Amino acid sequence: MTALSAMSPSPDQAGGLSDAELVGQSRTHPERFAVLFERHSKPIHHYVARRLGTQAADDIVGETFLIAFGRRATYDVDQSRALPWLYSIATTLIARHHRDETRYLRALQRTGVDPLPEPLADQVATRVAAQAQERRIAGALAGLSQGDRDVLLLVAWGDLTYEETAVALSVPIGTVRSRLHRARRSVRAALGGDHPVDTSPED
Amino acid sequence: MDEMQIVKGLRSSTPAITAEADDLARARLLAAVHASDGRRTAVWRVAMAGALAAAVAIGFTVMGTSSEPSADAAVVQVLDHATRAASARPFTTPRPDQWVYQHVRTFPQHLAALDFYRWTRVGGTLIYEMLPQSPGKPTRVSTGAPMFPPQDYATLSTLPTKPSALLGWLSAHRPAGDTTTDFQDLTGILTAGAGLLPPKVEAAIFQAMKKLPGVSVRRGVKDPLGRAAIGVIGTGDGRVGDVALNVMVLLDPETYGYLGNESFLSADDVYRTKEGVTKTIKAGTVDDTSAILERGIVNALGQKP
Repeated sequence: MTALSAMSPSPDQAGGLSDAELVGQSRTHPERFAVLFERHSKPIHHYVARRLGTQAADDIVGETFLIAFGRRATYDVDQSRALPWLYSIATTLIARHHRDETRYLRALQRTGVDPLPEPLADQVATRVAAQAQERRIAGALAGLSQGDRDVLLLVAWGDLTYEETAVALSVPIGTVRSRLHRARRSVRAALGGDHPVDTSPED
Repeated sequence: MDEMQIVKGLRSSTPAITAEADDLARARLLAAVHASDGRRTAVWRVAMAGALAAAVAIGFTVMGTSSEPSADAAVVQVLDHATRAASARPFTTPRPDQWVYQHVRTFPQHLAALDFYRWTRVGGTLIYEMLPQSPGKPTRVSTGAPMFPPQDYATLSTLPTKPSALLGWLSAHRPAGDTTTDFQDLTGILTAGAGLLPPKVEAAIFQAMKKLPGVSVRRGVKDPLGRAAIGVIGTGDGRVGDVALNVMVLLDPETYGYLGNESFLSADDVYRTKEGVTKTIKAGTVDDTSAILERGIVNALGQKP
């Protein structure tokens, strides 16, 4: 035990440091990187699990942090929050499962049964009531391009701002806005909004 | 309802990551951290998988048969000596605006020695470090929040001076989930204090070690710099990351001052390589050693004695 290994901050003890500071320090003190895992693994997992199911999410979360750790030297320290960066890596990994994701969404749209793990039991009542709406949204999401879907879900599920989404996807903010606008219009249409488009067989 | 709200509701009750999956993902990251870490458990599994599979302990083998059996009398003798020496050491209370400086050399196994300088502010919680190969501005490494074992001088210098109270303090402050032993934590405090702690605190550390079961001593060892030393060895059920480690405190045989420490595996580390081959790193293999080359109280950050 050296002085250094003895002083690795535990997650709550690192509260005073920004993500960027931690990534910066991890270049000479790699163990500091573990604090980022404690901070962000859960939201990343939840996001991926909503897109691909928990099993794929288990793998992708591990992979995301390994890749991030390997790339810590190139992290832009002007980005105080590491989440957009982590989402960017996760998004690339999710893209490999593009077909699976679309297939799951189509299945939900067609059958009303989500192939992803069942929600908690106390949600069942809500689920039944919301089923028709869910099926329409699933159809709309399945019909989106990968880029449009990434923007919509990073904003809706990842809680990223437009700027952060732009960082996560390496696209201009203007592109984020136009993709989001397009995606929202598709969803609105699927829900029977102002601009109906026939995206779902039931409609 | 706004369509964004409806999208937000979709699959919102997806279950959170399970504890098992979370542990596995964390372990994958920590393995990479360890493998990359030149300062600590460098390339454990990579280097060890190769020519070093014999796991020859560098330095000295602590768990070998030459280790003195737990002789209570010897332990008491050494720790009482250390206590008396600590109590008798001249000590001037540093000013809060001063800094504790130490130059430490670490020897992560199978890698070249690595030096660093550390400045710990006497009043407050600031800690800075600097590597000799990248001189300039020291990097702040403290978070400002309490650490365990404590590293900031303000906390270190005001620890309880009664051994049982000191052990009680450790129990009360050890974070949930921390799996280090009292002996490891006491060693961490000695290390952070760099031999510049108030005499009463240092004396209490040695007396607290005396109270711990299974502590042993070993005479005639050398510290990582080749200096003669007496080793005081803890019991080995503490874990750092995924490796079971024990630690030996190295004391100067003349002055009983703190020289450094050595950590070593307290249990075989059995793991599987990417190729599916099972490998074992033997208990007793040295993980890391560190020694203090220079220390002192200085007036400014970046200054040396």
